[in-house]
Amino acid sequence: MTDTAIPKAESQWVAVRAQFVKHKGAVAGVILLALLVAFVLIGPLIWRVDGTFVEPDTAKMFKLRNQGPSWAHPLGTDQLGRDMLARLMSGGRISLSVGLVAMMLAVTLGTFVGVLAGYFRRLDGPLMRLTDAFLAMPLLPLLLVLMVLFKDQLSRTLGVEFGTFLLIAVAIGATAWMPTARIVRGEVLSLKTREFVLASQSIGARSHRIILRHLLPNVVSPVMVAATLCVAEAIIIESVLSFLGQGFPSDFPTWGSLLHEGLDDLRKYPMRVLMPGLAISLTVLSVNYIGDGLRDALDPRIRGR
Amino acid sequence: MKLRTALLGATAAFALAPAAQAERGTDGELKLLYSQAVSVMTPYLSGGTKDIDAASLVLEPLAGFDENGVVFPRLAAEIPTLENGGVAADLTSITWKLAPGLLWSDGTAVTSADVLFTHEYCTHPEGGCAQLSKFGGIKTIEAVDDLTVKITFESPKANPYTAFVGATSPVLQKAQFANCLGAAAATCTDANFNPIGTGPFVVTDFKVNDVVSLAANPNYRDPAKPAFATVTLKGGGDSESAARAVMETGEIDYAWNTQINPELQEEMAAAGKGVFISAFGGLVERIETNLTNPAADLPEAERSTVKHPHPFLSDVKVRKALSIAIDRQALVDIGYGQAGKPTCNYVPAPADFASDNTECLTQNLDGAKALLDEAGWTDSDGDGIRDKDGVKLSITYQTTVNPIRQDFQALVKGWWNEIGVEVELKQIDPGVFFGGDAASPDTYQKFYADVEMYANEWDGTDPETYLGQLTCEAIPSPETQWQGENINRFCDPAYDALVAELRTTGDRAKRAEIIKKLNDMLTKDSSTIIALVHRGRFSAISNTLGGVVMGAWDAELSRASDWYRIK
Repeated sequence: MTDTAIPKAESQWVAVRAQFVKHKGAVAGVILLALLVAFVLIGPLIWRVDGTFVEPDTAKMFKLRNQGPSWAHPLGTDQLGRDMLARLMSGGRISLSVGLVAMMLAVTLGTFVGVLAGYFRRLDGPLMRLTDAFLAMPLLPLLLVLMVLFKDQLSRTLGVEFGTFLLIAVAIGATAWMPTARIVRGEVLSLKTREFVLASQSIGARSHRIILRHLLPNVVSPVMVAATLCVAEAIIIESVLSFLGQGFPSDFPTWGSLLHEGLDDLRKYPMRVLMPGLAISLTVLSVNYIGDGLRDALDPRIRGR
Repeated sequence: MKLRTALLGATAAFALAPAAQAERGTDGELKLLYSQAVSVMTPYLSGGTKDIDAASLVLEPLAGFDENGVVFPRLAAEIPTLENGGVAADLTSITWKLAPGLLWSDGTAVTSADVLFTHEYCTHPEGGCAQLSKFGGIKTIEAVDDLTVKITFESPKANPYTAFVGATSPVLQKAQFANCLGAAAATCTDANFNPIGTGPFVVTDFKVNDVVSLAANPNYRDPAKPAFATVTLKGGGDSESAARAVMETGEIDYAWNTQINPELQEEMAAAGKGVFISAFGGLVERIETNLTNPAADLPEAERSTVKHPHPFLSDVKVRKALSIAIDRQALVDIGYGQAGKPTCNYVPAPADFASDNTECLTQNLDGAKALLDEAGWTDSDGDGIRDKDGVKLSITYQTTVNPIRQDFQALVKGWWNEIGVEVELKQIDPGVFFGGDAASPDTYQKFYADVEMYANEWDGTDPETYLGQLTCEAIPSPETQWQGENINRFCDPAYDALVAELRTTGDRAKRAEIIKKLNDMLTKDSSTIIALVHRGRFSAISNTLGGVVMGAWDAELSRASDWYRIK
């Protein structure tokens, strides 16, 4: 017997990570997103100012209005003397979590429907017609109806903030899964006829194993792209709802509503629009880059090149 | 700013003397800018302010309202009153006499037949006249002779100056509109876009939803007026750019409705090319308190109904504390600037109808706290919110989606938190809030909140029907499909009796007395209505435009015949 040194088998995830850290943009995106998350989560623990506090003494309040950056207010104050840094932090909490939760929901739902429709021929027709039906529904009126029907009840049982949050995140997620489903179905249809799937079918692998082992890893890249777009859309839809009075009440600032509020004074105080706008853009950009990096890392055809 | 306006008025008064000897059409072109474009030149086919204003350059009523809300003659020889016998002693009829020698812009004579025809035109059953309410309650209208018209009412009318008074009910020429009755009204585009009138100007070119060009009326009754030879009324843009066109670039003489935030107002006024002018009518931004319980755990048909009085807002001391905790001047400074002023009144104008109720104008946080202590509302469990018998002073405060209102909400919430009241804010789309849909939980009539904020006013100068909205029978409820304007669910037999008295009182001084009393019952005495800001019309005029007296009771352009160029 000869001692053959078998190189230690590299786990798939080690390879994925190695490929991911090679993508400079993706690493920068992760760092940026981590910073943003830290800003909204840890920030308020350090910067203990209430972003909705309005000075009740009017003489003092007038002095506090529309201030530029200072030590007391690093990002200045708004038209009612509220601290902009604190508002950005609490706004980011809501916007980021709405975006992420809605995205996860939409992607999970979309992938599930897409895989089922693509893999099982019998389900294809009904599921795709369902997708068409959802696509045909006008999104905004549907969301408004959902808000009117359930907002009060949820606010009552879960509190205004959490109730509205849950409703908005679920409503956006439940109405944004269709593009993902269509993309995934298309991919699965083409993958199904590839040799490795046929091979695995011929050795008697069960459907769920084929789907989990062979199909899902291969549809990750388009799903990631859809997911990143979805985060941005969710943040924007949330601000549209706030604008129409069906989102969060005005004493819960979000990045979208801060941006909208600042628009009136755009000429005089451009920072008030730029800051939440920048925060939204940076979030979307970093999520996009992370998606890009993940796609490259998870795709075995690209990995290792 | 007030001093400056006064000085301007004084200079204008001096400048009037030479202007009186001026000749017609010597001052060139008058440029007007409306942020909403004009779509038709008759108020009978449009309720839009811009159309009513534009039409008032051409068409005139028998009488108009001046800046104090007092009626003055236009086509009429004089104002019919009880004293001169023009108004019947039992208040059931009014007799108007046309001034002799009046001519339409085409040179034909104005007669009582035109007045009668106008009534027929607007009240035609097949026509959708936008000003029908102006002709409400008229039993008969007859021509006594060529220049005399007698209007008989169905019941005694304490305020008979409705039909043919003000720019919303001008007299049309019978010859021109004879074929435009009823359903044909909208098809007479020539007549609707270029009506023959008695006013200072005639239309020379009408581009729908764009520009109206006018020239001086050669047959206008005052040979020295108008001073301007032509008028260009441009439409479009927004209020900010309209204000800039007058205040900063000076290319426009008069810009309508330049509601912009106070900071911008100051910035533009500093440019020195023009001034902002304002006039205050009946529009009051206010917080309405709900005297009934809106709690969500009540059965659907019993929420916000008189069956369940409000757990704490039914206490007058709580309402009063909420009212005096507000700094109204701060609200004006942040939201309206020169376009608003603080008020405590439900009926803030005309001057002789306004109560001298100024108690609430100074903010008194300590007084508010003392009032709540006195009423037994104390913070017994140390959470910063006052309570009594297990009920917390926790308020849901709703209003429409509007940046100024959201600022107001945040400010008022701050003050109320300061006196130990918890506030939850809520915003509703204005279309839903004012939509009146009985199925929606968010209408202002349903009032499923503790307090709500909006603005409202009455039509015309007399607040009789407006005050009548707060009688017991006008309370909205499921039985009335939530219709009714008594949204506070205020019910006081003494108030109802006084409203009935107002309906039968013709003398203006006595009416004023009753109106003030009614106003005080709602505001000073009970704080049922927490008035905040008296809002006005707000326009910009160039420094070179003279003779402008802005009133809130009639169309803004209805007295453009007196305007001239300051040279």
